[in-house]
Parts: sequence; structure tokens; C-alpha cells
Amino acid sequence: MIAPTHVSFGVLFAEFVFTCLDVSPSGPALLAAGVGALLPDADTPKSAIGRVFKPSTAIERRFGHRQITHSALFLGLCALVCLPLIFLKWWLVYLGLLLGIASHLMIDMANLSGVPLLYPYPGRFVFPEPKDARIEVGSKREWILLSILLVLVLGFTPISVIGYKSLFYRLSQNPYWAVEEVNEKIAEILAEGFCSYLLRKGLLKHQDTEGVLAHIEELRRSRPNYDAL
Amino acid sequence: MMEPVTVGRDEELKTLLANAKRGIPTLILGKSGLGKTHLLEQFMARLAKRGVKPVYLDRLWPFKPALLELYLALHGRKLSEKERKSLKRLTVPELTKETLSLLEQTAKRRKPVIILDRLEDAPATAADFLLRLSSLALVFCAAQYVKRTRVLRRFFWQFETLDLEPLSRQEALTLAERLINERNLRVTDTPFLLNQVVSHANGVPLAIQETINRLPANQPVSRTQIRELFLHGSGVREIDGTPLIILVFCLFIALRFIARGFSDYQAYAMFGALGAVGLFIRYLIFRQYFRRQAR
Repeated sequence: MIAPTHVSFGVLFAEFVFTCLDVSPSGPALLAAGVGALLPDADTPKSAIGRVFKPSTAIERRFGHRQITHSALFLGLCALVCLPLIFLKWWLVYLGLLLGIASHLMIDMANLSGVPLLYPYPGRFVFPEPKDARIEVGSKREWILLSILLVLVLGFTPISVIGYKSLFYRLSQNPYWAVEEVNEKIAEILAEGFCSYLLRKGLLKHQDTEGVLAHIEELRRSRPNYDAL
Repeated sequence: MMEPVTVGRDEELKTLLANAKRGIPTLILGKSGLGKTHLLEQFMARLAKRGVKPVYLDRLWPFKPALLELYLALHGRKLSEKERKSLKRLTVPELTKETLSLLEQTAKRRKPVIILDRLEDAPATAADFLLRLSSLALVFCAAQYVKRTRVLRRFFWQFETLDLEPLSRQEALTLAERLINERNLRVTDTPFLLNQVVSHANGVPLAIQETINRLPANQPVSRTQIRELFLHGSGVREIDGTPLIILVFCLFIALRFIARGFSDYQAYAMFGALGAVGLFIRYLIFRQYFRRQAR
């Protein structure tokens, strides 16, 4: 697949997972998903990332294209190498990056050659099984797929930003859910305001803010009437 | 003419020769491209050096021409056109009877060695003939798989099975190197070519040979050519990823019920929608499979 297909599918996949987790994706997280979607192609100097990443020639020489970097092993290695991102509390970026890599492996399964998901086991995972139904790199089919993906990304980005719950409130035009959403927003604003008040009075340390916010959120969820604040 | 390249089959060849000496019929089993025919050819060449001239049949289907070929090979003497015509006019049971009686006569002098290739093509009607053949001659055969029908099982029961495995990485590298040298290819980056060929061939000698044969011999092979090399597919083992995709959609359906259990109606609706998308994709997948079956 060409780089734009990988990036668009990577972003779409990340947005989809974030939406399912009811998390609003940040810009850096989506950017990480886009970069992650290109990473497995670092094994060939012909790819977009391979042109920048100099060791790609050596990797291609040693392992070949679509070998080790297109496997679960590579995904696991990246998950390990990028662990410091979690300690920096950039877990959305971390998740985005891994989702991007996973999306690359998934979409390359539809390629003619498939991916050796269980490398070094030589079996190559393909989808769909009939070869003539798969997509050749740079073919007309790939351009059609890319256009569909771009339309989906354009349509899905606002949904993932507002969250699927909010989408349902809007679609169903249900006042009860709208009230619930407003309540949630008010509760959020109040909690943040409360924390900033405590900070100003010197009653709360900056590093404890997140803990207090999480505690308020927990309280709010455990007692629904608390929304009536 | 150059000596054909054989790598990593010394053990198998030794076993075959030892079995020939001890009179043990042997069946070589292995997937397509692993070099069963090549091994049999090498085996025949070694037998010829020892003064044994085996009869080689490259397939048993269609059965009548195969029988005719066996008859002519056992007969030794060149038949006249008239004799040939009369043989061709015989029905399969008649020809089977003739061949078996000729085999009996030959076996009285010396038990002949018969080599049968591509035995997976053997028709069920040949079962009785094969059973009789195995008692009158020393049979060596090769097949990708064996049809375990009741009658054929009795035939295969007497065989020692020799499973042909793919070459190890080192053996595959040696084979590729020898083939490159044999073709006098001028390669700009030999390690890259070797890796590219070997990693895609997965130890299948035919895949290595065919891929190298596709390289141009009269000009230097560049890195771009190596990268764009059309790799022979016989070494590729494909695993259908469709069950994984179906599993994801099953997960959506499961999550839908979990969401219902938690009274999260938004999640319930969302996973329901995703399940519907899954059903549509499933329809497309199945349509492809049915089309393929219809072809």
C-alpha cells in the first residue's frame, strides 16, 4: 500500500478505537497514529519513511521487505521501546502509535503478498483469501480504497472528537441525554474551578490536581444525583 | 550439460539407496516444489551407476497410457508398429493382465525396481494393480499426499515413508548461491538477492530455482531489479486471515450485550451499528467464496 492509504487507515483506526473507549483523541495522538502507520515500511528505502530513515537499506538487506517489521514481534518491540511515553503521561500518543502500527499490519493483509504476522514463522496472513480479490500496490483498487478511507476519516473525525455518546444525543434529539451531557460538562467545569480555587488558596499542590479531579469524577459516577450540583 | 544442483538431500538419498539394497519399498511425501522428482532422478542415477536400471513412470493418470508405458519399458525389446497397435486396442483390464504377466516373468529373473512419481494422481481403479505390482516389484514412489481409500491403504501400508522437509536457511542459501554461480549472474548486491530469494522461498527448492531463473543473465542485476523481483509463489504459505476479521465482529456483538448489561445504551447502539457493518462485510466475504467455488 502507498503511504497515504496507510496514514488514512491508521488515523481512521485510531479514531475508531478512541471513540469505542469514549476518549477524545488529541492532535498528537492522531499524528502518532499516522507516523505509526508508516513505521513498518521502514524496511525498504523505497517507502516514504524509508527515504528518511537511513538504516532502512540495512534492514532490507538483512530481512527483506514485508518481513520482520510487518509482524506481531515488531509491534511488541515498539510497545516496549515506546514505554517511556507512558511515564511521560503521553499514553494517548503511545496508544496512537501502536494502533497505527497495528493498522498497517491489518491493511497489508489485503496486499497480494500478505504479512508474516507470526514472524519468524513463515506463514503469511492474507485477507481475503482469493488472490484476485486482494489489492495490488498503486493499483486502481488502491486509489478507490484511499478515496473511501479519506471520506471516512473526514466523516469520522468530528464523531471521534465529540464522542459517540454526544453523537447519539444529537442524532436522537433526546432532551434527557442532552441534559445529561450538559450536566457532565457543568460538573467538569465546576470540578476544574474548584481545583483552581484550592490552588489559588494554597490548599492544593499542582501535582495533586489530577488526583482530586479523578476523585470528584469517581464520586460523580457513583452518585448520579451528584450531577445536580 | 551441467550437473543438476542438489543441496540438503544427502540423508534422504542415502536412505533411499539403503532401502533399495534391503528391498524396502519407500514412499517420498512432500509438498509441491520440495524436490521429490529431483530426488527420484538423483536416486535413479545412483542406481544406474550400480547397474540397476529402474522403470520410471511420471504419473499414473490417465491410467491406460501409464500402463502402456510400463509394459513397453518392461518389455525391453522394441515392438513393431503392428504390436503397438494391437496393444493400444486392448481394454484397461486386458492391458493390466498383460502387464502383470510380463512383470511376473521379469520378477522370475530379477525383481524389477519401479519408480512412480506423482502418486497422488493414482485413480482408485488402479488400486488392485498397485497391490499386485508391489508384490512383484520393488516400488519407490513420490506423492504430495496419499489418498487413504480402503484399498489404497493396503498398498501404502507396506511402504516406509520418507517425509521431505523444506531446506534449512543455510541449505537454501547454499542452493541459491550455487544457482547464481551456475547461471553466471552479475549481481550488484549478492547478500541482498540471497536474502530476498531465501526469505520468500521458505526452503522450497523450486521457488529458489524459479526465482533465480527469472533474473536476466546478460546484464548486471541491480538492487531495483532485486527489489522488484517476481518471486515464485510455490514457497509462500498463506494463512487465511478471514477468521480474525470475523472474530473482531463477534467481539462487537459480545460488547453490545455487555453494554446492555451495564445499561449503557449509547455503547449498545454503537456496537449494534458496528455489528451491522460486520454483517455487510461478512456478506461480501461469503459472496467471494461462493463465486470462487462456482468457478
